[in-house]
Amino acid sequence: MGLFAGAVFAALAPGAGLAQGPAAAPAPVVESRFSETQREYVHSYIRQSLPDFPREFAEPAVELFLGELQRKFPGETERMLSPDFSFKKYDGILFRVLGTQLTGASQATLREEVARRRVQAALEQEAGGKLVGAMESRIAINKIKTMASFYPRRLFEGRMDDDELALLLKKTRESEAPGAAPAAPAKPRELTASDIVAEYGRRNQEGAAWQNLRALSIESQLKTANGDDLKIFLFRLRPDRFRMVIQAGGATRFMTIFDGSKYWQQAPGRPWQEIPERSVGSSRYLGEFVDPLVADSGMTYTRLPDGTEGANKIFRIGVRRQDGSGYTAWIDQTTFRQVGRETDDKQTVRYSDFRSVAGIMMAFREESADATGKKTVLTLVRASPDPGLIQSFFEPAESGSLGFFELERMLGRAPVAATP
Amino acid sequence: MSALRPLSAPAAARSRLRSTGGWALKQVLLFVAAGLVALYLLGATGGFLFVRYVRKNETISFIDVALLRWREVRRGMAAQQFAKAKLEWDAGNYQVAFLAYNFAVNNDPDNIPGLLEAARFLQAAGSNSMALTTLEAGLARAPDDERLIERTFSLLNTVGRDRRTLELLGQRPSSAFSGANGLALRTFELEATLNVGDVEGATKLLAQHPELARTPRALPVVARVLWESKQRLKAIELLSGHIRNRPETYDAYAQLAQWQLVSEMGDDAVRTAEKAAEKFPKDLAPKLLLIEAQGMRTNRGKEFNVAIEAYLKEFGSRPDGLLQLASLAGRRGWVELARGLYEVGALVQPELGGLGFCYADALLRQSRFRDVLQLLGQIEGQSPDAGPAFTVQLRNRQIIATAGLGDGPAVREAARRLAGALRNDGDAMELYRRTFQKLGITEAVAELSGRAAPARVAAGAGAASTK
Repeated sequence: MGLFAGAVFAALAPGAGLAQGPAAAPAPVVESRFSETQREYVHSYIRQSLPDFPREFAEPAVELFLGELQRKFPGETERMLSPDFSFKKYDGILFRVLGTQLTGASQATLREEVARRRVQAALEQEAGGKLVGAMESRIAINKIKTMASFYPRRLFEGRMDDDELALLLKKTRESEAPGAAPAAPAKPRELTASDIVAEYGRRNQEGAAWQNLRALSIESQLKTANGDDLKIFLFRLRPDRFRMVIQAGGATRFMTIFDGSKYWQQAPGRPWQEIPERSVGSSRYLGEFVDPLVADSGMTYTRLPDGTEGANKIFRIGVRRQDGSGYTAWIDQTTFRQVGRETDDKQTVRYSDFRSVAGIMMAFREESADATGKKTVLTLVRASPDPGLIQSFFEPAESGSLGFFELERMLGRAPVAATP
Repeated sequence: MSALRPLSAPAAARSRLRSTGGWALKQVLLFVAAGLVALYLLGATGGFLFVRYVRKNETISFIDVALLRWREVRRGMAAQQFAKAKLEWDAGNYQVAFLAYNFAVNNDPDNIPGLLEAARFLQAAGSNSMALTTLEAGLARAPDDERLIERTFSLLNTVGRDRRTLELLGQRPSSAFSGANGLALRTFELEATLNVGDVEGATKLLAQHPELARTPRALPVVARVLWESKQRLKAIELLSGHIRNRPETYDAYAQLAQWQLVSEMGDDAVRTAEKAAEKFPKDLAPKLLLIEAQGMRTNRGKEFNVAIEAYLKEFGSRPDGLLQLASLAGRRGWVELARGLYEVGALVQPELGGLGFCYADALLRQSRFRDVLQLLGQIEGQSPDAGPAFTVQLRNRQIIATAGLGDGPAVREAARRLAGALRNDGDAMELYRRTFQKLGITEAVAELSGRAAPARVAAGAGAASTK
């Protein structure tokens, strides 16, 4: 069990994408120069266009938008509430200022959607007001994302002005024109293990996403070689706390925690019991909060002979911890995703279904096979970055009549506790 | 015969000219009149066509335009916009609905059902202040309208603008208080006076108007006045009687049970909660009230666990079910339950900040201030993008915990940050200021009042958490 769960976390690999500045609170709002009606009107437009946009972040954006509108198009703010006023004309300005308000790691998806809406507005303006579909703007965004990293970064963060965006869109069209030379990614001829690990770290996270992450919770489904279905919940808090909950048939079978110095385990009807480190097995590596391939220290990397995984070439990197344990990571030579790993006891794990979570690329599926060929599949159901975990969650609770197992029983999700 | 004498030539010429000139003048006047009529008809037709087809007002008639019934025209247009606004609101098109309501209210400010609906829309859109502006404008035009009085003053008192209630009531002539709405106005006055903390004033007002104690709708407020003026048993009796006669309002049950618990009438509190649970079988709040009453009565004995089990079976799968129970555990300082709910919630909820706050509340009640600050720090560290609502929750607790530790500078810092988060919400700022005033955390009161904070560490802040 620990091996599989450990494999899940070994797969939490950083991913390619946008560098990102530190998260910031919304800009302070000074006394408004505009009427409440005008501001509410813009809010209602935002709410209609982007229902998920948080109002608290929209407030400073509305002020900026109205200010810019008044400066660039005098009279339009007064005309705003007349029925013939077309808001669409100013979508570009609005989505740009909205983008400037979204700086947090958890807002990456919304930030991209705001940028897409802005690109759509720009494309519509180029087309003389003709409607442009979401698909076209999405294609344009995808092309921009393949360009040098500062282009998407500036666009997503609302730091690109309209002229620059127009040029960029022109560039994306030129790149698809017949005869245009395809942008070939520069590939170093001979990479060292450090080069590969550094590139892996750069490509598998947005900016310093790993560094910004404080805690993580994961819900996953495990299908064992025997056909059993288990649910695994894993909670991790910096620097090395973890809590693993194993459920079968909708009821918790046992929980394991590490409080920073000791390991503890609890089963229904029993108090928390300390367990020695040697019996924890590979579960102890769940305490590695950061992916070993992006860890700042404590790891050594060796480049092993390259291999292939399916039709793709892979780098093989030997990863060694300070305690001498380790594994071999398989890194795709094109995408720099960690597509698999092999352990000292001949277990192999293959990772797929990569998705970005809080700017970190994670494999949502891992298939594991042991030396005898028995296979298990672990599928991530939900990964929640920084969910609000607290230290005492990783410490054994005092026994009482309303502890976890009793409440779970009351909720009707668990069988009656076993007799201690 | 002299009258038949023929005219001289010049006189005849003058006469001919007069008769020809009169005819011509008549012709001109006729043309002018016909022209004016034609212009009028043209204008009326144009106006009608414009309103009917351009503005798409299907209720307008030609007669309304022709007879220059502008008020009717505007009302017709407004009625249509009100209907359109409601449809757009239901469809989630807030922007269009906002415009339509704005247009409709401006065109027909005397349409009271329309005004009330527009206010409801604005409240739903998150703007209590605009809703109040709309309601107050309506009330200025129709000061005796019962519906407007009810909505406006209820909302003012609910959002903490009690002083505005008193100001508006003060502007009314004394005759208004003896009219049909007199009792309602006095009730709002009494409630606002009590809300601003003027118990003496409320008591005096009640003594001047004893008829309030005989008015069913005023009874819960009258009972509050009695409670605040330390006539607790009388207050309980009055509210109990009110519930017997008017059992349809849950708030009265909740208030009564709380008073009974404070007065160590645990059995009565349980009975009140049970009655509420019977009366509102589908609601979550009465079941929580029962858990609270059982918890206090039995010191969290067997009945308490039974009530929790029944609640979890019924509401445990609802998204807010665990959080509401955790919130109660936090308010009452039931640390074990708050922690257990956090642990269970972690398996079903992706975001645990709310449950973490409830756990912090429970620790606060147990005066474990350092644990609270550590816990809040961990939650804050995981919420770099938190919005003002979350920040307000966090800072509020930080203020109480730091005040509990007697750390004046930290109280001021947390209060300053709270004021920053509340910068756009004067009503909430006032409510928090009043709360800290009650708790005796003077540094926080000073920061929220915008005054320089006194150097002294909050007196009695340690007791704040247990209040």
